[in-house]
Amino acid sequence: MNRKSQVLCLLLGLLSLVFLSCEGGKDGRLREKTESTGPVRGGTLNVALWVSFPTLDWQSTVGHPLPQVMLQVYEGLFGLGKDFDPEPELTESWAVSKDKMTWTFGLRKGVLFHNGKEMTAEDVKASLERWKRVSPRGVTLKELREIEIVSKDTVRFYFDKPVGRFLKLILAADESKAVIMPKEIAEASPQGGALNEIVGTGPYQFDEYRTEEYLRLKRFEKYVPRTDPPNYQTGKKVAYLDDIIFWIVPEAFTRVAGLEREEYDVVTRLPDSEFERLRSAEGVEPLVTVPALLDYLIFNHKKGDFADINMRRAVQSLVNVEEVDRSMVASKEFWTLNPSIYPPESAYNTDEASEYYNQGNIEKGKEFLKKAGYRGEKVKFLVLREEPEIYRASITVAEQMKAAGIKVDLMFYDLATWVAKRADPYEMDMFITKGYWLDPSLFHAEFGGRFPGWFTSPETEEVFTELASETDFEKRYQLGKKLQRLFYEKVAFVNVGYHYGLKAKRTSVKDPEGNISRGNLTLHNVWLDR
Amino acid sequence: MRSKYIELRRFLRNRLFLLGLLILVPIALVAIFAPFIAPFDPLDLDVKNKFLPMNSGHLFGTDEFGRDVFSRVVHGSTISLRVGGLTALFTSILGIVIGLASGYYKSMDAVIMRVMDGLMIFPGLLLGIMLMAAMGPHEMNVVLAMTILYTPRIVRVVRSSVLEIKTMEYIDAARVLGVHDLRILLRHILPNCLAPLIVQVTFGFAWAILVESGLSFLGLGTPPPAPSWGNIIGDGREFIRTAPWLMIFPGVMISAAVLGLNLIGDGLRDILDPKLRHVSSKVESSVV
Amino acid sequence: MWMYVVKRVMAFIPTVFIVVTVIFFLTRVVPGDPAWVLVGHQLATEEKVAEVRRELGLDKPILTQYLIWLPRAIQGDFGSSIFFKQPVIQVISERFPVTLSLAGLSLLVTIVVGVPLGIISAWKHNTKVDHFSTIFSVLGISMPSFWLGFLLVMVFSVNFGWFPTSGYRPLSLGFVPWISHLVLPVISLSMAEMALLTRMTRSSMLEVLGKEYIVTARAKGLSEGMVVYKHAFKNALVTVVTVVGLIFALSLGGSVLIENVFAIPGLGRLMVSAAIRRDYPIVEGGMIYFTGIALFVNLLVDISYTLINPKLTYEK
Repeated sequence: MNRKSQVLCLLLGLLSLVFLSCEGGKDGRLREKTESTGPVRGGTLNVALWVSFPTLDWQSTVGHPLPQVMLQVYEGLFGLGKDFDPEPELTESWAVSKDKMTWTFGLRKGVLFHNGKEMTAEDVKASLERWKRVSPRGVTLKELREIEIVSKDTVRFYFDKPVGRFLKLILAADESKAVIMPKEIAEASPQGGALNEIVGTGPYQFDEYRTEEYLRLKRFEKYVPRTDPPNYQTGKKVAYLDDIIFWIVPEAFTRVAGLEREEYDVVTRLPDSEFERLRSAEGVEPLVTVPALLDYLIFNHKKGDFADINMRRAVQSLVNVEEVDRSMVASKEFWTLNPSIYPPESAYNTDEASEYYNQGNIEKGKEFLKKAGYRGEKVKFLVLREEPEIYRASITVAEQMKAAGIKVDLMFYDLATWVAKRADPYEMDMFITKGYWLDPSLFHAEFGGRFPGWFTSPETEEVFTELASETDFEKRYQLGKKLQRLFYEKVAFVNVGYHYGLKAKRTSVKDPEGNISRGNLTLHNVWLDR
Repeated sequence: MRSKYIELRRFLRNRLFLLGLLILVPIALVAIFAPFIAPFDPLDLDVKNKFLPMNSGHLFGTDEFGRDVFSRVVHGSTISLRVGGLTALFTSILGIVIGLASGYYKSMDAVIMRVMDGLMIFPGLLLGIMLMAAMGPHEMNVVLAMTILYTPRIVRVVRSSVLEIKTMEYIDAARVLGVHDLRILLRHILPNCLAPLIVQVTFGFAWAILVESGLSFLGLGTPPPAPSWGNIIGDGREFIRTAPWLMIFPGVMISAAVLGLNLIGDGLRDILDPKLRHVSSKVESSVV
Repeated sequence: MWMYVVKRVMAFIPTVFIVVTVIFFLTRVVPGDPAWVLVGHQLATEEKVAEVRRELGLDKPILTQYLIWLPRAIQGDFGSSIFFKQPVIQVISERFPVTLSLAGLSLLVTIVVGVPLGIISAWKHNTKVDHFSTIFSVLGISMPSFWLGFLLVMVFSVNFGWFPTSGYRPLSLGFVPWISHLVLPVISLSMAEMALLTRMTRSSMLEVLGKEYIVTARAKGLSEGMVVYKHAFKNALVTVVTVVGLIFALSLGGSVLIENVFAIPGLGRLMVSAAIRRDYPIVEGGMIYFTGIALFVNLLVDISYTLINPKLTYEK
C-alpha cells in the first residue's frame, strides 16, 4: 500500500500546485511611468494575429487576417473614415454625371509605390480591372463596363446602370478592398491568389513573410501623405514605427499571456472573458472593437424544410436573442439587443419591424411548426468550429429549437468543409455567420440569390435597384427601413444577436486617433512610448 | 472452487493490478451510473450562471454556457470509456482474426504484414488526424480511426504467439490426425495467445482514451456539445486564465483513467505471463 | 551492410505505396474543397470557386488526378502547395528544422534523464529512488501531453514569467531566444517519452542483473560500478536503442499536439492545417516525408544493434 499512498500524494501535490498557481496573482512588475512628450519615431510593433494567411493576394479573398496587415501596405481610391463613411484616399476629386452612369476620378499627384515608381491612371485601371476579375466583391460590380484613362491622373468609369454612393462604399470596403498596385504587377498575375509581388502605396511596405510564423512590414521612407487631418483609414498618415511584425498565434490564451509578458504590443481576437482582468492589469489596455457584429442565422431557401416560410417563422418566433448573446460573450459590455439589420454604429440603424425580433416564444414557434406540417425531420445545422462566438451561438440556438420540438443535427466542420457543405442545397438547412453592413446596398451580395441560403425576392430586388442609384440620405434611409421590414417579414434570416470583438494593446502603444479599436487594424499614426 | 480462489488471490496480490483496479473501478462505476450521479443535464444551458467558480451547487463550477462541469465530466467518463472500450473490442476481434490468419497461413503472412507495417510506420496521431479530417467528427468515426491505427499492434502480438505455438508438437500431431484448421486455431492456438493479447488490449484501451482526447482537443474527435473530456479541455482552453477549472478536472480524469489502465496492464503482464519480456510487446504501451 | 540497407529500403517501398495511395484517395474523396477556402468564405460565388477548381486541376476525376500525381511523386515532385504557392518540398524543408529542434531536443532530454534514472532504479531496486522513478514513469505516460503543456504555461510563463508563452525563434536569431522558446514544449513532449524510457531501461536492466554472469562477475569481486556499466548496461543497450528509435518516431507524431499548444510553426501544425484546408499536395508529401524519417530511424536502430553486439548478423 506504500506505493499507492505515494501515488496519491503525488497526485494531490500536483493538483494543489495547479490551484496555487491559478490563485497566485501577478508579480508586481510595475514600470516607471514617464509623461509622454509627443510622438516618437522608431521601434518595432509586435502584433499577435489569431489565424494564418490563406494567401497574400488580398484582392482574391475576403478571408482574414489579410485586412489587418494589408491596410498598412495598400491604399485605394477611397478608404473608410471615422464614421465608416468612404472618404478619398488616392483620389483628389471626383464627379458624377447627371445620369449617374459615368464617374470621373482625379488622382493625387506624386504618390510613389514602394518600388519607387510614381502612381498614374494606368496603374489604377490595371489594378481595378484585376480586382473586378479576381475579387469576390469585385465580381458583384457587374454594372462596370469600362475604365478609361483620361489623362495621367484622371480615370473615368462607365456603367451600364446608374450607380450611386454604393460605388464609393464597395471601393472602400475593408475586405478584399479595391487597392492600387503597379500596372506591371497587376498584369503579371492575372489569376487570383497568385500575386508575385506585394507593392502598394501605403505608409508601410512588405518586408518578409515566413509561412504560419510571422509577416514583417517596414516603414516606407518615401511615403507621400495626404495633407488633410487624419481620418481613420485615410487623411494624413505617418509611419512612426521602424517595423511591424505580425505574429501568428492561434491560441487565444497565449495571445493574452504574451501581451502581459510584453512579447506582443497589440493582440487581436480575445475572448471577452478576459476583459475585466485586462482592465485592472498593469500596462495593458483592452479595446472594444466597433462596429458591432451581427450574428445571423441563414436558412436554405431553395431546398428542404426551410423553403417553407412557416418553418422559418417558427424559428424566428422561438429564438431568445438575449440567451444567445449571453452564451456568445461573457460580459454585458460585449453584447447588445438591437433589432436592426444595420449595426448600432450605422446611420441606418432603425427599430422598424422589431415586433419580429427576440420573441423567445416557444409556443408560437410550435404553432408555426404545426402550420408547416413539421413531422420531426432532422434539420442539418452546420457549425463552423473556428469562430468561438458563432460556435457558441449555434449550440444555444439549437438547444432553443430542440425545446420547441425541432430535431436538430448539429454538424461541426472546419472552415474548408463548412464552406463546401453550406454551398450544397442538399447538405444544409441552416447555419450562423456574422458580419456588418453599414449600408443597405451592401446586403445585395449576400441576399441577392447568389450566396448560400439563396434568398431573393422581387420586392427586395426592387429595393436594391432603387438603392443603387439613390444618393439622398433621407430617401436611402427610408429604403433601408423598407428593406429591414421585408427581411423580417420574409424571414430572410434571423438576427440572433450583436456582439463586439475584443482587442488589447499595451499602454506603451500610443494611438491618438483610437484607430486600433475600429474594425480591422489600422496602424499608421501609431507610435511606441518606451 | 479452491483453485479459483487461488487464482483470484494471485491477481489481488499483485500491487500494480490492485492499484489500477482501485483507480479504474470508481471511474467505471461513475461512467455506468452517470445519469444518476450527475446532478444536472450535461447539455442544459443556463447562460445567466456562466463561469461560476467551484461551489456547493456546482462542484466543478460552470462553463461558458453555464453548464455544470461536474455533470459534464461525469458524463464524459461514459464517452471516454465507451470509445476506449469499443476500440479495445474491435481491435481484439480484428487483431485475432488477422493475427491468426497471418501467423498460421504462411501464404497470407507476407501481404498482411506489409499492410500492417505500413500502418505502423506512420506516427499514429498524425494518421488519426488525417483519417478524422477525412471522415468527419463523429464518435463512431473516432472508434473506427483508432481501430485502424491500433489493430496492427494487436496483430503483431497475436501473430508472434501463433508462430511460437505453431511449432509445438501437439499442433503438428493434431494436423496429422486431420483435425480441421479452424478447430486447431480456436481450440489450441487461440487460448495460448490470450495472455499477451489481453495485456496489449488493456494498453490499447488506455491509448484510445488518450488519442480520443487529443483528437477532440484538435476539434477532430467526438463532436460537441457531447461532453467528452477532450472536448471540455478543447473548449475550455480559451478561458484557461479566467476559468481554469474547465481544463483541470477533465485533464485529471484522463490522467487517472489512463493511469489505472496502464497499471492494470502492467499487473496483468506480471501475473499472466512473467516470460513476456520482449521489448516489442512492452513498448506498445499507451504513449501517443 | 549496404546490401542489407538496400534490401530493407526495398522492402518498405510496397508498404509506403499502399499507404500513400490510400491517403491520396481518402483526402480527395471526402467533402471539403480547397478552392472555397482559397477564395475566402464570405462572399465567394460558385462561379468563382469553379474557376479556381479548374486552375488547380481539381475538376478532373480523382483517378486522373492520381495518374498525373503518381509518376511525379515517384520522381520526388509532390507539386505545389495550394495555399502557399510554393513547392511542397520547399514548404516542408522550411518547417523541418523546427520540428527537428523540438523532437531532437526532447529526445536528448529523454535520454539524459531516462537512461540514468532507469539504471539507478534497477540498481537500487525496491528503494525510495526506485519507487520515485516508478511513480514518475507511470504518471508521465498517463498525462495528456497537450494538457501538461497548458499547465506548464500557466505556471512557468504566466505566473512566474520565466519562459515565453508560445512561438518559435530559429537558432539563427541566437541560442537564448531559441532555447527559451523550446523549454516548455520540450518538457511537455518528453515527459511521456522519459517515462517510457525509464521504464524500459529499468526492466531490461533488472532482467540482465538477474542473469548468472552478473552474479559471477560480482562473485569475482568486480566493483559494483563496473558490473552495472560494463556487463549489465551494455547488455541492456539493445533495449534502450530500440526504445529510443521508437520514441523519436513517436515524438514526430506527438509534436502535432504540442506545436498546436505552443504555436510552433513546425511540420505537425503544417500537416493539421493542411488536412483541415484540404491542401492535398502538402498532406501527401508530408505523409511520405514522415514515413521516410520513420524508415530511416528504423534502419539506424537496426544498424546500431550490430554495432552494439557484433555477433548479430544482418540477416534476420
